[in-house]
Amino acid sequence: MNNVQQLYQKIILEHANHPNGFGVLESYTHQVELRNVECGDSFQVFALVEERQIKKISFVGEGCIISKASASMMIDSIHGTKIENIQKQVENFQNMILNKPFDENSLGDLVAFKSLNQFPTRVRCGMLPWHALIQILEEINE
Amino acid sequence: MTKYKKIAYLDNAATTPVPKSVIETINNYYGCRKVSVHRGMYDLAGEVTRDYEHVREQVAQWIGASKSTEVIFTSGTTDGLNLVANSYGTTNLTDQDQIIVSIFEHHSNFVPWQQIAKKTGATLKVVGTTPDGQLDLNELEHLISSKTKIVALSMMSNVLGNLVPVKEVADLIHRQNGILVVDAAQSVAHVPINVQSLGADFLAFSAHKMFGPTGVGVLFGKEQLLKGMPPIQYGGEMVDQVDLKHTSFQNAPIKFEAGTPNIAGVLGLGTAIDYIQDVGYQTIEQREQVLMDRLLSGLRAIKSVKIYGPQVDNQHFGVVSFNVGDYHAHDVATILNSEGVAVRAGHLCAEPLMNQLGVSSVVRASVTFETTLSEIKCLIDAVRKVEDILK
Repeated sequence: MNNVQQLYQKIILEHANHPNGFGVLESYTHQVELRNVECGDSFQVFALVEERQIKKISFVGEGCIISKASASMMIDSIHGTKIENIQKQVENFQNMILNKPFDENSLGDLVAFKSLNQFPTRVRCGMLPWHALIQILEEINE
Repeated sequence: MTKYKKIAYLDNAATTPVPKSVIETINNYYGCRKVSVHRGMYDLAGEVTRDYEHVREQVAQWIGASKSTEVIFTSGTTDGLNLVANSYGTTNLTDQDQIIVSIFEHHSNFVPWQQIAKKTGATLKVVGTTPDGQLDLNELEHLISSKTKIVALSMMSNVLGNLVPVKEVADLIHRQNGILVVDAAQSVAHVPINVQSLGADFLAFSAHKMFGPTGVGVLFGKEQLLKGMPPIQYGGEMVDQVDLKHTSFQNAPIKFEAGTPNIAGVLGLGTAIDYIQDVGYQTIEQREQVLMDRLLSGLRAIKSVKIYGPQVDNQHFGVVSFNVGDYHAHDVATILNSEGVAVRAGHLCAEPLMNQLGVSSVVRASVTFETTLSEIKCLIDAVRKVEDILK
């Protein structure tokens, strides 16, 4: 597989076409909207946080394959996780796509984004839903 | 010409390559004669000032201005349009007045008017397009009234690539004693510009979209209009006399050029105009039409490609925007990039138009007369691969 085929591998295409956690939660404690200023894509992430744990999380929005798949896989990876552990997961994912040292074992399917660091112009797309999540974490920690 | 590293460069609408002659002019200034203009008491300063002011005359002649004092050097189109909005707009608009722009304006000819409307209480009206992306002249005729003080219009859409009938618009607005501001950023590399035959009261363009350097541009303004306009930046060069309580200003264009200007940029602009004049717009248009025919027919032959704007040949001047199936423009551009093809993808600084087209983003391929047929072939071949990779 060349780089671009690696980027658009099956698991990423599947998540983009059939994203998990797509929709608005019936009840939520946090809601963040973020836009990619380059293309106008916009994502809203909803989270129901209880006892410093993400009980439920979802997203809606329009985006490219990379941002949609990233949102879907992010939601899979943090559903039901304690806030403290999410922080680590966010940093780990960010390290991977910025080509810094990271722990591959704890990322699960998210390693599919390993080649994203070869596409600097697309890092923003892959990080968009994560930046929304970071904003939610900041709100929680305020 | 700029040597791009092994890529098919089809992002010329963002910025064009520069010919060697322009680089030589700039190098020569920085390497052998980097002195300031208008002030020095030595021969070299006089020489550089003469060359700098010669470019003003050259521009005036090139665009058909009646005097070189109607030519203001700016940092680019955005700067020029903001100058008109902030100076002419602030002085002449009230809450009884209207400004009209089109739906396909670049943000640089949209946001300044939107903001000046908010500031002055004037109403901003937006004229749409016909289904094939042409300016809707009927709607415009309907919108223009005695309340319309300003129509600000792009001469060529940076998304759709079609020319706007500027003269007809000028006649409509002049009948109501309003003025026409023309954004020529996109058209200047492709078609000749004559402010008299266009009927433009103001017209702005950038050097970097016409084989010149970045950071320099031109605002043309009619003498009588410039006369009544206050400066919007204050500082050196633009003043006449300063005392502790009062300052008087120079006349146009100098009153609008505060501070040390982009001298290398202006000299480079002069050489870029020489370059265009040596080639000639007739040759430019002929070569571009061959390229655009090949580009459009190549894209049309791919079933999943949707082309925006005019659907007939010879109405896309150097620019075509498209999408491939339902794929996001950024995904398509990434595939093209992996095939060595450089295009623009996104909302192209034209979000109002994107909303009208019902898309969040498009892929844009744009040429100059220097683009080669093999670059076009690279693009078409790469677009054919998109579905294989993304489906």
